[in-house]
Amino acid sequence: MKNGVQFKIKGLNQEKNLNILAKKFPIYDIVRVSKNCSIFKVKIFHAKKVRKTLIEYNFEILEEKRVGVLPLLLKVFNIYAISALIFCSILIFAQSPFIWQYEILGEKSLTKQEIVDFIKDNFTKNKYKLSTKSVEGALYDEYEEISFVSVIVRGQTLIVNIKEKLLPDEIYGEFKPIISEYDGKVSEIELISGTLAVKTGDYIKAGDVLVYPYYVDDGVEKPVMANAEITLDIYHTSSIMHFEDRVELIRTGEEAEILEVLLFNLPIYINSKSMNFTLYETVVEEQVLIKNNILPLKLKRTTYYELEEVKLHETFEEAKERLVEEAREKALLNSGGCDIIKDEYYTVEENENSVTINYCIVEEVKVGKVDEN
Amino acid sequence: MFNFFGELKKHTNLKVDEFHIINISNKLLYVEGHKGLVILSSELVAFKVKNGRIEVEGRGLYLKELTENTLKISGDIKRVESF
Repeated sequence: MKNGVQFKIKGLNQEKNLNILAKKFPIYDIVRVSKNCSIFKVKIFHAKKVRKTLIEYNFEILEEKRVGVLPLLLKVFNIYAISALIFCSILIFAQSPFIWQYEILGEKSLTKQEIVDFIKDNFTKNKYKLSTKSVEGALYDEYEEISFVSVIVRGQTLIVNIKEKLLPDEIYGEFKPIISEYDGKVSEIELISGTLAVKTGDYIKAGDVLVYPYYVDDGVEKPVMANAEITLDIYHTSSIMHFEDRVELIRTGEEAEILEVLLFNLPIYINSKSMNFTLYETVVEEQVLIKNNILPLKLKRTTYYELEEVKLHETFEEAKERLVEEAREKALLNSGGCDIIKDEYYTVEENENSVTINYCIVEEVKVGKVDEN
Repeated sequence: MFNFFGELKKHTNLKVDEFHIINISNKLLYVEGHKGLVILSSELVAFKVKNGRIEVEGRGLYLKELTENTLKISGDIKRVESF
């Protein structure tokens, strides 16, 4: 038997005693040391009863010891387990007065971190010194959104249960004014909430306030979400000047071409013909020859077109239709694309040597309407 | 025909069915059905069986295990005798 309890006993009639013990528990490694003395082992969980029986039959226990690996392990385990238990108990006892965890329940618009930071900044962590009623009062005073708050301490956790007010959208959220992004004229206003800064017919610039985020009640400004549907007329204009006598450059039909092969945008081969144009325009085309990053070869084709000056005479009446269309296209280009064109018109301004066409497109834009969804 | 258990019964007047003894190389003696230890020393171990007694002589004898019905004697066994 490797693991057990070894007894060394002294007494008369050892055999009789061993027989009595053997009827109750198995006995191992029995050695007769002397006439009145013997040694034997029993299992660990029988040791207590064996001791009791020996005392009952008036045997003297000379020695009792645990033998084997298991008792050693149990001994080590007991030492370390007790040490760990004592250490943990001290740790728990030392930490028990403090709040280590915060649990926030029922928040919607507020954030957990916001509330935890507020409590940490303003109240102690010692739960015995912390007054939950004062925390409740402070939270209620600090946050307008809170309609009900309860605070309890459970173990090392501070539990905050809040219920937020049900505020209408008009008086809840960020109060920002409605600001115009365009230059134009106010043509129509439908105010929903807030205070108007403009009236119908006013000319406004980009950045001007259209609706303030408050309303006045008995002379007191109270915040409210600015909400209105304001229609603006935006003016997009363009001008084209016409001269009856003018000089234009036109291509003669003569052209010259230069071919260049480029590697990393540096020319490695140039094929050019002689070119002696005094007045010309160029057109450049580039074509990738090999599509990879190892040898990025490109072909660059530069074409020179010879130009000549030609004197033209065109009366305004002959060119008017074309000029108006060009002015309109220019105005549309300036607008960046209109959704709703409310009106468009042009004016003709005659000068000493020229005629100017001013074209105007009136675009309708709605601003300020808040999406209720 | 020779009957081993019949002859044993005649000589020992014991009922061999009542207990079993196994001797392993004179190093270990295993006994089932003993009725109690009578003598225990390093030279002699004696125990009761039904209608008799068995003595084991040797050197360095000790009881490796002792329960209500079984025992194991370990040591240098010289002789096993029944009475």
